[in-house]
Amino acid sequence: MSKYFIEGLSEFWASKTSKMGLAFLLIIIIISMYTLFTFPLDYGTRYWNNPKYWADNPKIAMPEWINLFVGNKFLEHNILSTSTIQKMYPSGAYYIKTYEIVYDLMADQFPTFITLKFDNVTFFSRPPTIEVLVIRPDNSTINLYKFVVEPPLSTEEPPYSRYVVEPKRIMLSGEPQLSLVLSNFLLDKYNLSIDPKDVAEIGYEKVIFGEPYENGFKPLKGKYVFTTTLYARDVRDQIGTVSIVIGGQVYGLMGTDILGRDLSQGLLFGFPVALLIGIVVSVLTTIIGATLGIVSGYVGGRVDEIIQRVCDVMNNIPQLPILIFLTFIFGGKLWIIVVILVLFGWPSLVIVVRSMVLQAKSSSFIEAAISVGASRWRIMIRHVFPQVAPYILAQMIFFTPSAILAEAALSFLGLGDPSIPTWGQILEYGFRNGAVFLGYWWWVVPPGLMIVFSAITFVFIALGFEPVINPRLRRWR
Amino acid sequence: MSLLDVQKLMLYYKTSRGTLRAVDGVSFSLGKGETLGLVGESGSGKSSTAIAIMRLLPRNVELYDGRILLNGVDISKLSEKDFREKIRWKKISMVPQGAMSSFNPVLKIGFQVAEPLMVHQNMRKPETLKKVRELFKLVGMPPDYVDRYPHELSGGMRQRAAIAMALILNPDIVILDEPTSALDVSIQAQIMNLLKNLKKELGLSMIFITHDIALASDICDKIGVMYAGQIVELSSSENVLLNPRHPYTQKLIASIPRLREEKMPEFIPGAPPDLVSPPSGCRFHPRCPYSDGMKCVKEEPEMIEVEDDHFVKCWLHSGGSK
Amino acid sequence: MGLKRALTLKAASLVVVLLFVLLLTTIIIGATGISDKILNGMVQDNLRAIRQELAREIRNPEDLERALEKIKEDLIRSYGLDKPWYVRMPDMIWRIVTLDLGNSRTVVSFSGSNKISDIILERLPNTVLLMITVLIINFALSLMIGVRVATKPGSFLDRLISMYSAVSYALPTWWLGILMILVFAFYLKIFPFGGMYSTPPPVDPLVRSLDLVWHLCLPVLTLVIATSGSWIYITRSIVITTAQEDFVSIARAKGLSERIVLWRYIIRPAAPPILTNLILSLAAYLGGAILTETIFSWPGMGLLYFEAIMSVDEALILALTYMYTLIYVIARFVLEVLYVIVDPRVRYA
Repeated sequence: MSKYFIEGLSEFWASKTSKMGLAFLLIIIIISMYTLFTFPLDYGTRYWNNPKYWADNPKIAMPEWINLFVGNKFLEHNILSTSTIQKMYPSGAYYIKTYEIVYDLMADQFPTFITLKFDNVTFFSRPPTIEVLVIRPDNSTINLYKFVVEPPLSTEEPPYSRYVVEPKRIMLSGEPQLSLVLSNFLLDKYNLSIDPKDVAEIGYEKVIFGEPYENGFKPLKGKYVFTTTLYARDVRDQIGTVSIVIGGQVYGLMGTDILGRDLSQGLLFGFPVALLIGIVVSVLTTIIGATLGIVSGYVGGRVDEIIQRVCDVMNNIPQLPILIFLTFIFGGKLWIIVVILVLFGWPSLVIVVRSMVLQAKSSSFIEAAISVGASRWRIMIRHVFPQVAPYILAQMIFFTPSAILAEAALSFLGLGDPSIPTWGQILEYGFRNGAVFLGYWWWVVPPGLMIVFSAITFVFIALGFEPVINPRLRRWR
Repeated sequence: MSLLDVQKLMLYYKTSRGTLRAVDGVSFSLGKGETLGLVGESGSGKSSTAIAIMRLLPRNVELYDGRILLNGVDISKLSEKDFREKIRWKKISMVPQGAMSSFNPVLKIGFQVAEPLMVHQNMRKPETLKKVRELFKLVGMPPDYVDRYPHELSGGMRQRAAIAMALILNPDIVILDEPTSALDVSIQAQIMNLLKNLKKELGLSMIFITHDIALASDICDKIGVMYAGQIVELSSSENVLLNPRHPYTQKLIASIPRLREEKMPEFIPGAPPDLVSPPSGCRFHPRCPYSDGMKCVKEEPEMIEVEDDHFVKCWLHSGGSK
Repeated sequence: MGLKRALTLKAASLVVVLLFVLLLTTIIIGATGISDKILNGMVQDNLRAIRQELAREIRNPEDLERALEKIKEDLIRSYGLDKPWYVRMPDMIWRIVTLDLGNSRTVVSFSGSNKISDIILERLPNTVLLMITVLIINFALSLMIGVRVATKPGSFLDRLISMYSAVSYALPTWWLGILMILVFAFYLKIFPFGGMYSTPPPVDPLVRSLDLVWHLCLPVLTLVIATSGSWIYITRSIVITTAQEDFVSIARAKGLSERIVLWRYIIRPAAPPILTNLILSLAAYLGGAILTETIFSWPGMGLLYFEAIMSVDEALILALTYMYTLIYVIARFVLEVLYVIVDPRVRYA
């Protein structure tokens, strides 16, 4: 038997598909390990499902590498920050501090949005005023935004800290007063009279980063200097970090979804989850199925009868509707999904294992062991099990992809575990938000590819196992 | 002139390991009313010889050569269509090896037996079934079995039906490929008796393929002993059984278990040769106790006539110096 | 006699399956209190209807409330809400069997009814249409390609089919559907994104049915691509095995033409195992259909599942689970009957 098994293993090695499968598996394991070490375990709840975490990202942005394939390059996403004070001088009752950020617009595209961000503002007496203006490449200046930091409460003691936990975010595109500023700017600079309402229609980004061209605007390339001025009452007042988010059209390796989530992170996190689901479900299913199959085949009699009847019924249930029903009722927790998949997975294995055990049992070898008086359990563990073990192993590997696919299907139906991002859930969210109908391919194609990749890995390995468990096939190859 | 004259028949298969020489220069003749036994271990090319005669070639044939003269006409030169319409079953029919698998499980026995009549002689079904019923009586089957499915028949009955099917077109030659090997001993005897009766009554010419030389001697007039795709000894049943000349035949006969004899049956040492790379010289030399280690290893012996109508392919009898 | 017995046994075991699913689902919804929720919803529905009726007869609000209170108590008693769930379980099972599950909270049938039985019965034909079309195409494909490939095992096409079937095992039908929409509807614009008819649906019956076929193309193509690989592969394997049987060489030896040998001695005896395979793949196929309907907004029961999940409609999901089991059981039985017809061995066993 062991010789046979070793021979089978070398056969397994010789097959091209199994080598490919093992290589794929190695890739999946490495990516999963990397993900597990770099991502927190509560990634799903802490970051993935927390919209604020993704607030600075562009929404529905394509992956950056798309620029390799297009002539007219898309604008890349940019977050620029500074903490250095450029200038500082007293002016009347104020101490003025300025912070400067330079952005070089090189693409032939407009940014999709502009967000100003202020972290850690500290003041000691009266709340300071903050003002942001931009000097464009053509040396014209636009005052973008001005606000007063929230005043201290009566219970507060100086120094007063603001925007520590959560930075102050100003989405410029959503600021109504800016339309007036820009309308005036267009009139002064280009002698263009456009109603503030229409400016909002055109888009602030086009006015700030462009110049009139024919009937619209074209990007004005060059250096934009964003200057933030802090009008402080106390010399110690300061801004921790000033940031400007220049919304791009492309982002990261895999792009973003409608919430601005970096899809590459979700896809990465899907690897360990898929591997976990696949392996846990297949191992548990196999343990239950193989045990019952061996017992059923070996013990026979009433026990066999009962196990066979139960399997017969379980095998005849249409799986997906029942899985939908159960996950719907018991809720989308990952471990519940795993339990349900195991619960409805084992019967098919029992029948296969049982018939193999019956075959093994009738072999003269085992009959001899019985006649010598070896105990039932001993025969089962020492003789029957090793004979059926390779089959069981192959079945286990073959079960893994179906578990991965089943979880993906349930997730896609909206029954997944919301606290853990999976490929199925990314697809579901994309599908529900019309990604398919709007052509957001980077949102729906990669997660599916990942599912296929991880499932096919195990299919390949299982195929490599076929000649091992089926010697007739071996001879004919 | 003999009814069937097979000359230098060759059938090679292509396999992943190389060319497999299943039939390698087999020659024999069969007279009318005669029964020839082809005897040998499994893998010696007996069944392949039958396949080659019936031209039931699998897809991986590499070489198919030789002459098959039926009543003096070389049927191996016929076109595929002519061969199918004029020879198969009409002239040569066969009873296959496995009694279990020789019938299509989803068609009735009667239909399958009668089918050649419908195809070759354009007879209508009711007529053919009448004929089948008569034939069933002849082979010792209840006529109403025509309406049964194969799985409803016992192994013996199924083999009788297979024999009836082989006889339906009154062929010149019936090839029986291990017709009894899958049956119980008692049923085996019944089938053998049936075959003997048919031989007597119908004057049937048969090629009887078996691994059991004793069984062959029971029914055959002539026996050809096959080894590694070749016939190594060919003579009348008495000659082969009582006066075997080839060492392999001698071993084969010594391996027959006998009642009323002290001697234990011997077994032939070594394993049957690999037909992809058969031994050089005489193919039996690795297992032969008389191998001289020289000529036997190097040169292939010719088939020679050691006495009247007794042919042997062995250096012991080819004037080799022993 | 043997035939009847064989079929009765099959039918009995399928009824057991149906009963098992019914028991499982009712116990679960009973024990989790969801059946209370569903029945309460039904009581409220009834009460609302009665209130409107009574309001016309009883003018005095106090009298009305008193009368309603009494009716409510009657209703609660008649629905068994005053008893624990396990006592009213037989009643519940009967209710599911007859699809008397009250009203959907969110989904409305095309004709405007929100009765669950109306909704489901309206969608059932659409699901059946999709599934049968795919079934027929798959069957034809597996016969045509599978048999052809079987005559040349090891050929390029053969290896291609083996690869295809391995890949399609790992390919989720629904994701394939998404790809198909992206390619054929979004980029190439040859097929519609989904649905069953254009809006507004054509009036002319001929144009209308052509419109239906046009809408049917993508979902059918998706299901066929996803499932035909394994069908073809298995048909091929069965045909190869059958072609190696002795009776096939005997048929050739009998001088039968290749055409008769192929149909009568290879394909015909291969039919029962092919059918067995079909029976075994039915469940997976049903699951694929549910998801495909969702992707293509095909107004069948599969899409209804998705809608019910999204709007958390317990009663509807319960009814659908039952309906799918029922469809499955019926389809199984039809196939079993077919099996008995094609395989004489079962008939007389």
